[in-house]
Amino acid sequence: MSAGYDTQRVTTADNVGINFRVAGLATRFAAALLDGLLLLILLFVATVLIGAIADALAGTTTGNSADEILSLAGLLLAACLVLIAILSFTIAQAVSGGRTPGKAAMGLRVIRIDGGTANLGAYFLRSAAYIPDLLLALGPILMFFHPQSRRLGDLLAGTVVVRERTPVTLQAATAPSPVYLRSSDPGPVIDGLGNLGERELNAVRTFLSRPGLLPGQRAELAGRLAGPLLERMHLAFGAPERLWPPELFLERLYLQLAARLQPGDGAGVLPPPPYGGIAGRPPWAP
Amino acid sequence: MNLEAFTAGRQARWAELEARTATLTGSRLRGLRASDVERFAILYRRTASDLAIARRDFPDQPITEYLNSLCGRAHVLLNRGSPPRLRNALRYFATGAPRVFRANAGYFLASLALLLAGTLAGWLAYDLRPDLRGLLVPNSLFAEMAQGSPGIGVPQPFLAAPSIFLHNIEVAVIVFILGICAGLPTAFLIVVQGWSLGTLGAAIHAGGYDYAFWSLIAAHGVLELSVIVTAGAAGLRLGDALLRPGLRSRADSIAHAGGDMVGLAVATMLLLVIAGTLEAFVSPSGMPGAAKIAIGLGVGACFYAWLLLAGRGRPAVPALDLDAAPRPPSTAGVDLAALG
Repeated sequence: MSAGYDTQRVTTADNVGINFRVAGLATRFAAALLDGLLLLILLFVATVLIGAIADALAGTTTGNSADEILSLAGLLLAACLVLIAILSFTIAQAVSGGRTPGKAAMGLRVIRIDGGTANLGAYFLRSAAYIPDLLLALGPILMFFHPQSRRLGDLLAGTVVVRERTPVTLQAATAPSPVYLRSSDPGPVIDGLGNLGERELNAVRTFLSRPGLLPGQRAELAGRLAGPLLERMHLAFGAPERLWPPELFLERLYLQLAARLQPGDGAGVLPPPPYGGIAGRPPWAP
Repeated sequence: MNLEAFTAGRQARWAELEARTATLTGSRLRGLRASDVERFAILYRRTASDLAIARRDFPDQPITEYLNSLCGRAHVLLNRGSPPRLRNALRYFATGAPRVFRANAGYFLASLALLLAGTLAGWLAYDLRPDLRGLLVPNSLFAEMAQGSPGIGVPQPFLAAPSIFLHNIEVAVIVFILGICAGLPTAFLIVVQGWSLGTLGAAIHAGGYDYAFWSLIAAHGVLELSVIVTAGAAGLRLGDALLRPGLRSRADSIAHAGGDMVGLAVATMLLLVIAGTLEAFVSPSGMPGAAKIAIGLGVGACFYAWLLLAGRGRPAVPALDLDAAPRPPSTAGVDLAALG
């Protein structure tokens, strides 16, 4: 099920693997701290409420039984604090589908190790297991050594806490890669553009979007790409385009073909990068 | 196929799935129309197959990371059990919990044996070490016995009942969950319960108040101790799953045991509300001792009848008609063509 450190590998019914990114000890601790602060407010309210009730009851009687009421209230309070903590964590997870307020703030979610949403029993186990995990300090030790950062409660409930946020948005992932051109001048009109389509445009764009090629490699690749393109364009034998340097030919071809096939789509064209057309790499670098 | 061609035809589908995932990020699919759920599922499956293609063809591109994350979020939302319903809880209470109990009867017997061993040890300790009696039993007991009325006067039953049952539920939760530490804390706590019962019983016996004492605790004690012993059994099962995982890995083994026992433990813990109410209202009342003992035994008999007899019948499974024509999955309201 699991694949290496910090990922939880889950296979869907169609046998596609999904890698969940497991939340680490520090993030989990921060989330628990936030949840703990909220819980503290809840416990404070409960304490005040029970104290007020016990006080009112004790005021109606005198002597020995007043003492007994107060000791009963102490018993009630001690039991309430533990049970309120367990119940509130259970309910918070159940209502939010595994995202307590603290976890939601940190972008975490509790999931089953098979990738599904956990059920009420699992949430109760995770919450009740705070007793050994926190009071006996087993949780942090176990999380430190466990490849998926699971504490006892996670092991018992068959759950794992994953990070839901991703740095990649759809827009960023599907944006066309930037094209590096030495000049944005399309040059004289090239004949035979009608013989070329999207396929050829994509090929030229892929070539022009590679920033890391050495000058020699780039010229050689350009020559090998330009040859078949010139063939497909059915240019006359003595056409001037055949005499252009292949890199210049491809750049001009790209500008004209893009304007023809995708009018108004000028995005992604970068000004010529420094160092003779190779982005980020000085000419003296190997 | 290059990256542009791959994304061009599928981008709309991904954007729609992402939008639907964002609106569903809460806990439930309830409130959605059936066609919405089906469309969500179809989008998810197509995106998952896109992920498989992307992982093969563009393993290092951001699009693979994006699809992985999107599929993960949709997968979590789509793969879930039925939401908690009162009807399911009642059905579990009526049949599920007793079945789990019977399947794990050995752990109950072990837990009961620990309680009895603790009781016996406490009784013997009181009898054999007269010099330690002051430490074994609270001194107030001797004073009360001297006055002729051992027992607790409860001034405020409406406050006492929740105090008692909440405290007992807390104890039961601790007894259950600490079983994960190889069962040792659970065993210790059960023995301690028996020990305090044993020393108390021996002291009362020495004072000659047997009937008054046992009739005082019988009404609630039978159920209370039975529930604690059951929670102990559940805890012992967790410890045993850790110590002897069998063919499973230890992590799988305790997850399995946890899922098995949590329902039984919680179901029986809820009965502590009844025990606590009896303890606050019936036990300290002026009811004759025989009636209290009868109530205690009656409640105990109901408890064990429930655990031993309920849910024995086979669940009714509708006969499978193999000749019936297979029903195609409903595609009502789903525009398959528009998905491309």
